[in-house]
Amino acid sequence: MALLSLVRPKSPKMFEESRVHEEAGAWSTFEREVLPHSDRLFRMAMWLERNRADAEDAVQETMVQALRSFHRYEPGTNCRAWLLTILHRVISNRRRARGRSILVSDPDDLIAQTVPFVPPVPQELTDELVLSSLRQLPHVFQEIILLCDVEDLSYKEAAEVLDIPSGTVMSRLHRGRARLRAELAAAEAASTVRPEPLKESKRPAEKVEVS
Amino acid sequence: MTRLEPQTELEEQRRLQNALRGAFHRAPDLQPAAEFPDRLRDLLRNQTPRERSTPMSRRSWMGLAAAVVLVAGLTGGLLIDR
Repeated sequence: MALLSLVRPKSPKMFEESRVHEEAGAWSTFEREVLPHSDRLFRMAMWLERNRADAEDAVQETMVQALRSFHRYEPGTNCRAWLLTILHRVISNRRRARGRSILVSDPDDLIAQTVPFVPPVPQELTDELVLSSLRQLPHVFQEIILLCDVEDLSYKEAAEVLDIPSGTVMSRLHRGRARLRAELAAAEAASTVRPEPLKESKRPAEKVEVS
Repeated sequence: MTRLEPQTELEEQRRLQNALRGAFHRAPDLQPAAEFPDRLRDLLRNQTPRERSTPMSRRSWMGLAAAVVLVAGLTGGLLIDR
């Protein structure tokens, strides 16, 4: 009996009603769980794309893809990580299409650029200082710091977003943080160095006689 | 790394992390336009059902599988009778 009820075809009207009902349910779940992340997603896209129109396009494309594959999303898992994975793929594809890939051929070459001494974090951390220092880092370090320290993803989640092993996430994050602290210290030092008074330079240069 | 105590080192890192997070979320240049969320919502809501994925439900899959088994059984039975 149960088998027959499974096989029994639904009437077109019933099928349409149940489909509409399922869609309405899926949309309300999507609206509740996914849409609230659009602001964060936009900030990430804006940082990576550096252009408002491109960032909006990337977020729209990400959300459309998320809606289409929403049946694959597992409730209770980290929705933000899932969206960031899609966003990362969207932006990579767009860059590839534009021929503007900024992927480092071998990110581990960057080990050589790692600072041997990590200075302490400056006492005063302004938003401008922090963001401009982050912007100075190679792209791979910016990305990993944003995912782990700003978006608070786990190593495993960040690894899935970037499609790299967790071990690489850990080492890249460690080096990225060290580079960021070096940049912060350098920026702070540059801002605290006061130029010498120009009194001396106003004097005419003395002639030095060489015997 | 510097020779800071692990606890101090952890606090330093946490302070930097908080500063980063705050700066990133406050940065005026990174904020979406005020109308962007509504525009996005409208765009997604207007996706036609065909554009959205309509995966078959588990019930439909089971029904299909049962039908295949039934047909295979009947065909097998007919072949044996002959």
